[in-house]
Amino acid sequence: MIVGLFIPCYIDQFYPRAARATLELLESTGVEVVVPTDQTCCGQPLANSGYEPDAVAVMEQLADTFAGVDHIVSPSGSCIHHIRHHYDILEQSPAVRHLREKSLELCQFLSRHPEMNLPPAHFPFRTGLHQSCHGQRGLRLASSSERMEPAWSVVGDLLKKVEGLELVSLNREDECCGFGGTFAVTEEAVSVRMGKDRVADHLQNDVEVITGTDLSCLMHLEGIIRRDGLPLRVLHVAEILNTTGEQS
Amino acid sequence: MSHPEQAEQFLANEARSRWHDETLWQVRAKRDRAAGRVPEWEELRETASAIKSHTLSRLDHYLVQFEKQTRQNGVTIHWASNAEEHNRIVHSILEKHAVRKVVKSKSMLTEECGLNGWLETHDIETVDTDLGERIVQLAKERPSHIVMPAIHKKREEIDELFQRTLHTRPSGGDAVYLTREARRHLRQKFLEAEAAITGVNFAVAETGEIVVCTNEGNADMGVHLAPVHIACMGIEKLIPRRADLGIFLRLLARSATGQSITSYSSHFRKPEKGRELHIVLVDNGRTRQLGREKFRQSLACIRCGACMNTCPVYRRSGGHSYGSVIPGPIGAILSPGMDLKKHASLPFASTLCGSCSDVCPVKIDIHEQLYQWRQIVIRDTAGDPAKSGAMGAAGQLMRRPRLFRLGGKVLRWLLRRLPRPFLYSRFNPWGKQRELPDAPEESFFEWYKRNRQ
Amino acid sequence: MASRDDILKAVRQNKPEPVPHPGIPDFTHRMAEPLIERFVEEIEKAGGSVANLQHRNDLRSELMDRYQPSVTWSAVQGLSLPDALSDSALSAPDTRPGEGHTVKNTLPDSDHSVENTTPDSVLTVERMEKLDLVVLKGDIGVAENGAVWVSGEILQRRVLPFISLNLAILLPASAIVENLHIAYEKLQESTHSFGTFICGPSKTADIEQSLVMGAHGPATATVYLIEE
Repeated sequence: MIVGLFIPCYIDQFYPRAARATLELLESTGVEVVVPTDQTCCGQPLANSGYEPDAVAVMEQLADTFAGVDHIVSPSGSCIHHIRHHYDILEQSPAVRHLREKSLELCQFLSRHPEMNLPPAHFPFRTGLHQSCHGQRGLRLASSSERMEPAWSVVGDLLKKVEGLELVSLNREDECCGFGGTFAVTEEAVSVRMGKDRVADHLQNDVEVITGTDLSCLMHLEGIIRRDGLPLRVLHVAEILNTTGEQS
Repeated sequence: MSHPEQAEQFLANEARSRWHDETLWQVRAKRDRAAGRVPEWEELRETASAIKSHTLSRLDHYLVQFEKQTRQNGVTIHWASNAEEHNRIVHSILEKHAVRKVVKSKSMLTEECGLNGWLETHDIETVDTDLGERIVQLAKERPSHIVMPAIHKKREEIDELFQRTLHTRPSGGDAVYLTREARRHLRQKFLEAEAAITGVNFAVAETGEIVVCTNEGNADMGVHLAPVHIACMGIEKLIPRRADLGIFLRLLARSATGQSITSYSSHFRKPEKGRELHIVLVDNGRTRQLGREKFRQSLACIRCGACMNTCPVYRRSGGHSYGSVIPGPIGAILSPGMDLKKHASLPFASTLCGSCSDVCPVKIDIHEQLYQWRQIVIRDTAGDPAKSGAMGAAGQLMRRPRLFRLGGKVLRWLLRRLPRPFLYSRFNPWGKQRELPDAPEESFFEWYKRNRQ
Repeated sequence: MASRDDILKAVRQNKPEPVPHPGIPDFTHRMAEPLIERFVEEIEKAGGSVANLQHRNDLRSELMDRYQPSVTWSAVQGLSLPDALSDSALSAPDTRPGEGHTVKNTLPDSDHSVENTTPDSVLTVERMEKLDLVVLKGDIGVAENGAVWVSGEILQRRVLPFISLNLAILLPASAIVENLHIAYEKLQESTHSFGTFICGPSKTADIEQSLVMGAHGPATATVYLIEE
């Protein structure tokens, strides 16, 4: 099985550590991982702003880039959600259909392949899981509190296997953090209030580390944490799952 | 004013906006508990959604059937293509009976049509009898929530408002006292009213009956005391059969307030002896919305308000920030269909978190429709040319991986070098209350190239 | 009529392809707890109360015990209780306290057995507006939400359940069904001109979500369950 790793643009530029952790984590399971260097962006920033037509070219390019792999895996629920659900505007070529059908968020991929043994991870911290909405409600990586269904969480299950990690419940288990792409700047006031509330929820529950599947949300929360000098840090879930030997 | 500007004003009063958020969150939590007591909740949602889809696909049939049934029941049916025709019809009925005093129970449709203002200009006293609506009316405001119209007001303000308008004594915001005074005031209005106007929650094509749900009993008080009852409804309120009511009434109150059912769910089939019942069927853009494939499902809305209570943006920005008759997520997908330019900022007043769609009792894919409205806003309105230019350029840049990465490298270099006052100027909304992320020396692909290729 | 035709034409042009009615799934026997237990819980949650009666003949003494000190004016609708309670609808005398003689309790003790015998002329708005208690017959109780179906056919004036200060509904325990679907099955053939599900008293929470009973009508609502 060949896995094509899709590293979203902002992770490449601002969170290379998380990208490396994802790569290493996938490699540690024994799959062959390729990283096509022609990839740039899934087109979501444009499309979510209403500029779908301007994103067509880059979306098609992404499909071509990953035409030859068995799975496309990415450390971003939001980008995968966009690929799977918002590529309707494209001509549904074999490459586009392949990309849409075979794209999986990292934890989604890992949970679908339980035969792939992850190396044991060790992370002795009180950890809060921020269920990013596009992953949670978009890709259904977890139950949502609005729906009357038994609680479950793909990411939570992976974190529960990490030695020493204490997964903390929050007051509002799956409230949005307020990032929302360009919403974070066009609706700055609401976005920041949402972010502050989300951070406060973690603090009230004595969380030391906030993790999740989407660094975009975490970047927003980190921006607030650092501005306000709060005793919290953020890590992508891959960085926690990949804490073999070295302490993150 | 756009949504972000009004939202910022609402948030400026931190104590109030926090109270607003917390209070509506509690309503959402009550809804969760109520829904959780119904093992078949998700099946109910699925069935409700399917019944609405069915009804919309045969709406002409059901409208004709409803009309026929109501005629047999001795009810007078009126048809209005738009808000003005609706208002003229209501006014003409009132004129015929020389009505000068009207009591009204909650109806988002009459809000949409601006009926109160219309009647006032014709010297007809129109009193909203739902307590929340009366508060808003006395304050000369508009409802900020479709189920809790005065949720934006604090008790002290209501106390002051009642002192000024109803001559109550200062009570420090005693809700029991204020409600008693409102009861006395409105009781008089009920007794004097010559006509009662209500909304409609559901209209049953099979039987020609309409169902009106309230907790206060204000719709019934008005209707049964006044000689004339005028019920105003959008054409999308129809459901095929009486048995379908079971599905919708089980969902409505639980979704709205977390009650298992409202105090009163009244079924009006024939007028009371010696009285008149008129039903006004209103289009006002609904048939147009029916023709929009991506948006027609919004017509399934049963006006429970659950999407408002769950929306993290609505809870923090308040209903008035939307500047539309129906606020919140559902308002943000209904309003652009009425006036795209005026409501252009509403589809963007969301993080697309999807909570609205998951809470919706009729499974409207609200957040997906928000996404689709964004495309239409950008396509059909003259937006910000600078933004359009930037987006187009970004789209071009992303097609060129090397150039794109070079751009990233330059950006990171600038972020590391530029002085803080320059980076955190007023042109950077991100940095107003947030730090920018660290800009590492080496991107992932730079590392990859160096180590793996 | 131009608008009628315009609207129907626009609907025909714009409606989607036919979608079938899904039917209503069978939702019976999903409730974990006994029906009466849940019914009582739901009513109490809605701010109402439930009292159990061995026999409908006990209703009169129950009402006397509960309301005697405060009730001046009452009305009874849809009940035929020769041994317990008069069926006269407005059982108060024509005079108000102070106007003629003082009446502290007007719950009737005569044994007429005809329903709703009060002349309509007695049911003026002025009188109804002063009602302290309305006693009604309920037809169906719904366990899942505590609602009771009251048919308009028993009401001399429809406003009666909504206008008095207190409401009492007599309901046979055997009339309690699991959910609304079953209630509507029972109502399928009903040709009521008016009917209403009532659950608890009139209430509002429009001032800062503080719950207050008696917004416009009844501040108390009691269901008397007869076990017979």
